[in-house]
Amino acid sequence: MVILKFNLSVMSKLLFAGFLILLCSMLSGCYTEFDPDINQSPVLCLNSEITAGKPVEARVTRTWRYTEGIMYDDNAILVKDADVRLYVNGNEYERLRPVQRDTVEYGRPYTYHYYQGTYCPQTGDEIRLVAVSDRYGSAEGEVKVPEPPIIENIEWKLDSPTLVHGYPGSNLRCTLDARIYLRDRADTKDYYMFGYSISNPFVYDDPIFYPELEEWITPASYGILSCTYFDQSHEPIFSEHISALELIDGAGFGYTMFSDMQFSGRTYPLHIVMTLEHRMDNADIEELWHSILNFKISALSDSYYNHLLTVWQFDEGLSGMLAEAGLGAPVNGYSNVSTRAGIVVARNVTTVPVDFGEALKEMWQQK
Amino acid sequence: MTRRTLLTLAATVSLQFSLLAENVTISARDREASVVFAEIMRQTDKNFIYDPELLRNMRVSISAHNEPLDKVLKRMLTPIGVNYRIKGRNILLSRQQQPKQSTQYTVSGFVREQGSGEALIGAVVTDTLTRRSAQTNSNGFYTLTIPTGKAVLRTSYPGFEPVITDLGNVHSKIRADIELEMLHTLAEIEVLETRNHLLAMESTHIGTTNLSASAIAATPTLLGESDIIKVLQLEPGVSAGTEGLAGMYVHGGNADENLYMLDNIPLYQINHLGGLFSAFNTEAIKNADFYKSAFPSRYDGRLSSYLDVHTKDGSLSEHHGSFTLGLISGAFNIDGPLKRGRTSYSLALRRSWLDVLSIPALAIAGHFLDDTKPKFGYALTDVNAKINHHFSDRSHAYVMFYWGNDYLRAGAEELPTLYRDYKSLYMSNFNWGNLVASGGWNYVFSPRLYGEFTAAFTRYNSILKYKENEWLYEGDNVIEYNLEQTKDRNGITDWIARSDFEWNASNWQKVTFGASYTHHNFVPSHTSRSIVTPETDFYTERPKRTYTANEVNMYAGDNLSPTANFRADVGAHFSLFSIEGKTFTGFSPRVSARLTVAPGLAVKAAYDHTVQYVHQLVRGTVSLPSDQWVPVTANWRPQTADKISVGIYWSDRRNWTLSAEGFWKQMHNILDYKDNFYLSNISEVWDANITSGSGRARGIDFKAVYNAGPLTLQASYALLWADRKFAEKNGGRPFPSMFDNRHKINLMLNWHINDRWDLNATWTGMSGNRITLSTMNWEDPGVAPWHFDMILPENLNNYRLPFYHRLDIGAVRRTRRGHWTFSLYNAYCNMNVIGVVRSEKRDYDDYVEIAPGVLTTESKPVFKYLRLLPIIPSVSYTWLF
Repeated sequence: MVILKFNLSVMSKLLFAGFLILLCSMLSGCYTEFDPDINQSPVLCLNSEITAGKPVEARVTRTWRYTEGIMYDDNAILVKDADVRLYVNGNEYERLRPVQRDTVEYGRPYTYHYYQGTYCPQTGDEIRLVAVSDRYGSAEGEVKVPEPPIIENIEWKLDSPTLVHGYPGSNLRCTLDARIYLRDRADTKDYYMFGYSISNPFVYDDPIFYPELEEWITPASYGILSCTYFDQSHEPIFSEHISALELIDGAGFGYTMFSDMQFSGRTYPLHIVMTLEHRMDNADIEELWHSILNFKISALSDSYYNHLLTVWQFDEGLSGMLAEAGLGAPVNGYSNVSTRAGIVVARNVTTVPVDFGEALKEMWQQK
Repeated sequence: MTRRTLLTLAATVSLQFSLLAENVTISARDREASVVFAEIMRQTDKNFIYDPELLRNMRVSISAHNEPLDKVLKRMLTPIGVNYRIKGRNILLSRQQQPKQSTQYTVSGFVREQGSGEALIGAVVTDTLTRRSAQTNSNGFYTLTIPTGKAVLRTSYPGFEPVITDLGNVHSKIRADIELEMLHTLAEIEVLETRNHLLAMESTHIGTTNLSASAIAATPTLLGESDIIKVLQLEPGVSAGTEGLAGMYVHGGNADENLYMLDNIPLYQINHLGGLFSAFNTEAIKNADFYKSAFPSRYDGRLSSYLDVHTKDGSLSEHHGSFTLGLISGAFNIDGPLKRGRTSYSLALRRSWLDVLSIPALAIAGHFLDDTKPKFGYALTDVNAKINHHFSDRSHAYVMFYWGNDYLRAGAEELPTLYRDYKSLYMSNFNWGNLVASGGWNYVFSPRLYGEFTAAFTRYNSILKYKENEWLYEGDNVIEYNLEQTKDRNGITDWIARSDFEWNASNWQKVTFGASYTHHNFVPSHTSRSIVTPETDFYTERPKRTYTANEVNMYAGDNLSPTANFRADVGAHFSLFSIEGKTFTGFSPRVSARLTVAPGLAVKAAYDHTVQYVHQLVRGTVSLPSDQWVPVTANWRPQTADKISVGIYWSDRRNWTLSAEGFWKQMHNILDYKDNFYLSNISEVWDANITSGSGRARGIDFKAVYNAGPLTLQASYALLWADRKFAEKNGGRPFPSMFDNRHKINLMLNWHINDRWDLNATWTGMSGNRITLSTMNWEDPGVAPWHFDMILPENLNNYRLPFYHRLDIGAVRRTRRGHWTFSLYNAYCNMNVIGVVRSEKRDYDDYVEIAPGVLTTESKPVFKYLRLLPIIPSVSYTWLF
């Protein structure tokens, strides 16, 4: 008994001391700033996203040392005087001209500089871009425009209608369960990405005269359909690039690229589950029920797919997590440009528009 | 004039004393004869005349108080087969005459600890008349062949009282089991030969270390948890990897190139808590053999090192045990006889109580976050159990069991509040660990032939689960729910059958041979996922790809010692590995030799070839439970290595042992993740992510040990170059290995101050690990869902972290009931750098206008060193019973 008492007394002291020590130790990992003695000269970076049917655009910058910091101003890295040439299927087609577009970014005016051509690439084109700068040398990258995806069919249903409070009025909420039948081409290695956009209709109301402005203004009423939740987890192919540990970590939101590895030469039904909300404050206007949900299936070049995988790994993957914690090698950007800085990627999009108007109305009436 | 004559003259001339006393007072236990003679000469006017060869390696014991010289000499020299004659001022020594025509006979038996009956591995049994000797094997068995006639054996083992056994006149083979008593105190004059001294000076093997449980316990370590891996990290040529973790990178190799064995059965995952502790509970360990340069032909399957940990057998005579309370774990150990003299058991349990420690922290956090309950728990558990049974003096069997497991759960439960109408539960559960069960039977077929038969099962299993549950309420009713669960399992299971034999052909030739069969089953990953909502019940399972492989190993080795000065080990290991319809073969020749060029000076050389069929895929520098063990497949060739080692060893045969060991190692077909391996889809077969290449390592390990009874000092320095070359890594260019620690220095002190206090300290300093540090960025092309500046690749492992150094201090204070162990990890609190992160420095005094009227504080990108583990004191108490 005495021994038991003695050991309990020792144990309680040890537990208390252990807890304090462990707590102190865990909180005491620290970071100290340093500047590594590695010096690298900047090289040219060439970025271009080629989309079938749209004029070629490219952006030319230089690489920079991480500690240089260009967080709010990219003027330091822009290369505005580069000579950028477009080659199509091995032949020089044109020299891209420098263009600037005024826009707003982070709530401030921003001028976006890029190079633009006139050629609209077609399926199967081999596009090569070559940029030369007197100061930073040259960079070049090449890509082939992929074939557009073949959508054989689409099946969908709306279910579980509920009326929820929205702004300014109430919204009709429902679940969309869709299957998009994607036909893969045999004998080629294909990469895809799922996306969507919504086109909302509007109708003009009668013009109103504003005396203070001395102007007639025509207001409009909008039908608004929105996707409030896109549940990627229902489609396992969106997570085919994610390892078990990363799955458990819950990683993956927003990344919908996939390969044909599991269905090469066959048809695959993409399972899309979304929560949709339709604004009900203009339910009496027929046209406003007919918002269009555009399912966009893109065929990607391998460089595009690799870039997305890399960004995903950097953002949410285990390698990125270890690198961020200082316990693993950095996740380098994927590049198919000669300087290892920048990417030249291509995609070809097939859009499948779906009008849910009638189904929404029917659901609303039944409710 | 020959060297021998010179030495004789030197011995004679030097012995000039003026004292005339004929009585002697002396006490010596297992001392070198020359030292004892010198003391007798000092007390008398006598000189000793002898052939120096007679005294080579001769040790004597005597205790006399003012006794006549003649009596003292008789008592001291007769048992060791030396005749003496006092002639004037000279004492003439000569070897006792052996019968001219003698036949050989064999003495064999077991050497065990007195009382407990624990087999003593590596004990030396010497016939004092012929100077022939033998070492006990891993079961304590020895065989010695000596001529007919008088035989006196001397048996020694580090830390034990040497025993002289007079066998009398023997004319046929004889069985002689010997029991040694453990030394409890060390007299100041005593100088003990250590097992490692013998390994350095007598064995042919280069880079071999033996560790006893007491040596492991005497090394101060993190949080007071003594750990064999962390002791081995102090060996020259062994890099520790990441600070605080139980990593081991031997001679520029990878972590998966070490074969860890528990009683000769492989353990695949040896890390608890991400590598903070190893799976080997010191309380269960008897001793361990570590080979880093030259490997016995018995071992193959890894490129860099072999660690065979022998667990305690348990006492055959009495029950005893211990109970240890540490800061983060407790251990219980008990052993004793089940049937006195026949059957013994040993049981060791270890469990951490971090989960208990975290309860108050979670309670405090839960108090402040009243609508959220954080959940956390971690525990490691080790169970070692062993039962030994002696059927007869020739037959002995055992069963051994080990179960080691980690569980980690972390998550949170969010409760409904006035402002929230839902409840959620996020929980990650990880379980991983080893299970080993083995049974063995040892049989002495004849005094010359010893056999061991083993059947074993070993499994590593890791299960990761993630649960994400949400419930939406309307009043008290659940109107929606979403229950998601992801589960992944990976593991490896082996069934093993093996037989090992030792045939002592003669004193100068010992042959070892054996064969084994292993059935492997690999599950690199098996993932399933389920989602249940009111509308769906969704379940998906990734294809489970398992691999089955059959492995056959055969080996033979011949230990030859044709002369006292020369010994050689020649052998080979042959293996077959069959997987996916393809069979690989491996032939691993092994040659090592030792030449004693002068008393106390030996040189060695060795060549070793090794073959490795399984490897571990590791991302980053931390051991994760998801790191998969995978076999070589039809797409890849087995990894192999060729290693040449040379060494020189010197000992003053009293206190000092010095050694220098050089090596050159070339590795072939080694596997690693290729650059941007994550571009290979994870759903593809895992081996799409890897690439094959070569590696090279070379270096020198220096070691000096000073042993003066209660004080042991050890210093070592290692010089290493290690690099790799892969076609699909670093653009095909060679690059340095991550743990290419160019210089490494270790200093160690163990001081037995008195019966109450022991003090130990270690200092480690080494060139920092290498990492890949990319300093340049390129612009985000803006085509991904989220946007980040991209990193421009640099050469792999292009940056060396700052010099690493750390002092650990430990002390043991013995009490009546047990002992306290105090330790101070990183005593001068040098928080070493373990990595580099990209970070930002925010200066709150420096505002930047990013838009008209929009101000923000400036954030400057900076690189930062990640430093870990400050000074960590710890204490534990061990109660002995």
